[in-house]
Amino acid sequence: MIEKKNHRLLIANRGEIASRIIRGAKDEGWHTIAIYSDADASAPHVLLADEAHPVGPAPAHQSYLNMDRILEVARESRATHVHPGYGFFSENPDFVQRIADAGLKLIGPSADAIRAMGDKVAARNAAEAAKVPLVPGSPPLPADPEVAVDYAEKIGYPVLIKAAFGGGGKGMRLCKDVTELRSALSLTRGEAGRSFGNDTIFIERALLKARHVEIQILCDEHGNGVYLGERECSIQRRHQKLIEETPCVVLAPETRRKMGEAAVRLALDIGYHNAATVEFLLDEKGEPYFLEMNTRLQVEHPITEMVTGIDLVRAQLRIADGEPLPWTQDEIDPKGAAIECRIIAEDAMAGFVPQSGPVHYARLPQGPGVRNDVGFLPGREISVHYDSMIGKLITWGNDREEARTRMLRALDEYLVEGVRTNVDFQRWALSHPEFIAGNTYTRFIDDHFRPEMLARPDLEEDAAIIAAVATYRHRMGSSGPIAMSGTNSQSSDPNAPRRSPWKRARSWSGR
Amino acid sequence: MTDSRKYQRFVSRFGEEQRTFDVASGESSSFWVKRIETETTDEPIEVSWNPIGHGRVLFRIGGRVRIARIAQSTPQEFIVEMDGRQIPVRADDEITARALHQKAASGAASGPAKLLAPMPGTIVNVLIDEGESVAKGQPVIVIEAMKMQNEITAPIAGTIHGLKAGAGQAVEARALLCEIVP
Repeated sequence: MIEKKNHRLLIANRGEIASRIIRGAKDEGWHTIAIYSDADASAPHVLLADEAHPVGPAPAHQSYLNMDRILEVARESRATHVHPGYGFFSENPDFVQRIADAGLKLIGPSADAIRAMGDKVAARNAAEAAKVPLVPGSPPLPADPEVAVDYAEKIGYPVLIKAAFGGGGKGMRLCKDVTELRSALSLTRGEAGRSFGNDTIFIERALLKARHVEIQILCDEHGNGVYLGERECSIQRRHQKLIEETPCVVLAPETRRKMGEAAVRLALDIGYHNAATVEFLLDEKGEPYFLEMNTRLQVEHPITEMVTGIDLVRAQLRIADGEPLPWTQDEIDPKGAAIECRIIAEDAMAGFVPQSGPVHYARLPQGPGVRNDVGFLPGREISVHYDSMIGKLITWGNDREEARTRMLRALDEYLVEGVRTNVDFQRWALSHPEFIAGNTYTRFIDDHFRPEMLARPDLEEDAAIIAAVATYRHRMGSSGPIAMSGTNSQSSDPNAPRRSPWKRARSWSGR
Repeated sequence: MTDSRKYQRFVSRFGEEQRTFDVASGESSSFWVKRIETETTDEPIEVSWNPIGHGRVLFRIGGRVRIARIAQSTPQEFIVEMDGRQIPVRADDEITARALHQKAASGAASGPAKLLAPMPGTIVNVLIDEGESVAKGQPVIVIEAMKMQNEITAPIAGTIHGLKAGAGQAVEARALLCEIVP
């Protein structure tokens, strides 16, 4: 590795993706600069980076979305490059413009390319021009709900309301009929305004039995582009991806080539450079329809890395450094299969409600074919201020079944204590007969999942026994009023903790 | 076979269910537990209790091994965390359990329902007014948490009372938003 310490990369993000980018940059020999909010002062990405600078209080809009402060840190730390990650400023053309104006280089496309694709209405037009097949939809909608109702009648229900500047599954709502459409219009518009700073919305026909299949592309600054195969991301809830896999079991090689070439054509048409993902819906007949183009590194990029052997972050850095792509399309040769499960702090049994609080203990899966990208550490809080996705578990196998069984093995190893996660939900999904058969589509969870499927009566029975014994011990006075771990510093157990980190309830492990 | 151990009877309750156990002391850090059924009584099983540090306890329950974190909120109420699940459970001696049961039965008449914030977040919309009547399942308040808007619906039909929620206000999990009086 050639050290390139004059390449000073500021990572304008947090969580698992910040750590992922730091690792890629270090492998390239670049100097890494982290930013952190007050809540993240001891976060993993801060500890990994060569240097780290505070950018403000815990709420994201005062820290990770504080453009002035981040640019100030970039100047003070003599950064030469900025990687936005995903979320936050990753698809914000104003930020990208200011990066460029400050004489810094963004690891990503130009502000114009982000603008062109960030506006989903403009993106549809560009896709149409590049002869990429489109789902029927409306132009931007005025405030009058009747206009939306008219378009929906023409397009046919069910329809999706989409924020023109939305992304990552946020700012979308499915409406089965006119009643749902009327009640969801203002909600979606409000969410769009608050989350994306622009409340333009439009509607599209919703394809219910469709698969979500996306193409990863890389384009250099010299007019070359390649596609790195597809990722199927059909297992979603509230339009947010939970499981991604590659390859897509039903994608015909001819369709893959057609989609890949359309994706690269669209990118080159708009003068795009760096990594991007072009998303499609695949209907029941296997026909692809353009959804949108994401002008950033995707959450689910690791599965592409697992099968292609290409480090996408390092590729991004080299592209931004002006290097031409080192491969032709023929040299991109994915091997085997990979699956990613997003590990989210949420209670799947209670409507996927986000969870927060301190993580007391964690045991992460290891072993052959397993990759863990995580953003939490035991002893630290999972904060209400940020995304509830706290990690990504990725497995590789020679084929899908090997990747799937390996994922189940890894999920069995995955333990987070203190905060409820969706590990059990992921175990349910990966072992569902329809998932095993490859019958995946975007409404999979709505159609197959019921909260009671995650019930664990075996654990409840044992908890009942433990509680009875605990009360008995207390009654017997074997160790005074209550042998709390907080008071047993003279305990004979050398491993007994000195202080309970559990705030609300007192932890008890004494003898 | 006669069992000469001195057992005490406890009732554990979790969710809507309850179990009755007889518990006696065993060797050093172990206990004997008999599950008491209405018709028959199970054979006692041995339950060993070994703290393993970091607030965690290794249990052997019959043949099963469980690692649990036990948090205690009152002398009788616990949250037992195992395998990533937090299970609230309460264990009382038999007499207390019976008294609680009677109290619960007499007070079970349909009272007002408290509408609590299911998660920490920011209230972005209050869809009802004080005194307004709502149908069961009607959206009442919208809370934005982790960038998602979540509609909070009325758990029962009734009238809104003591509305504490206002748009723009930050709320903690389980904060009282209002009551719905049937």
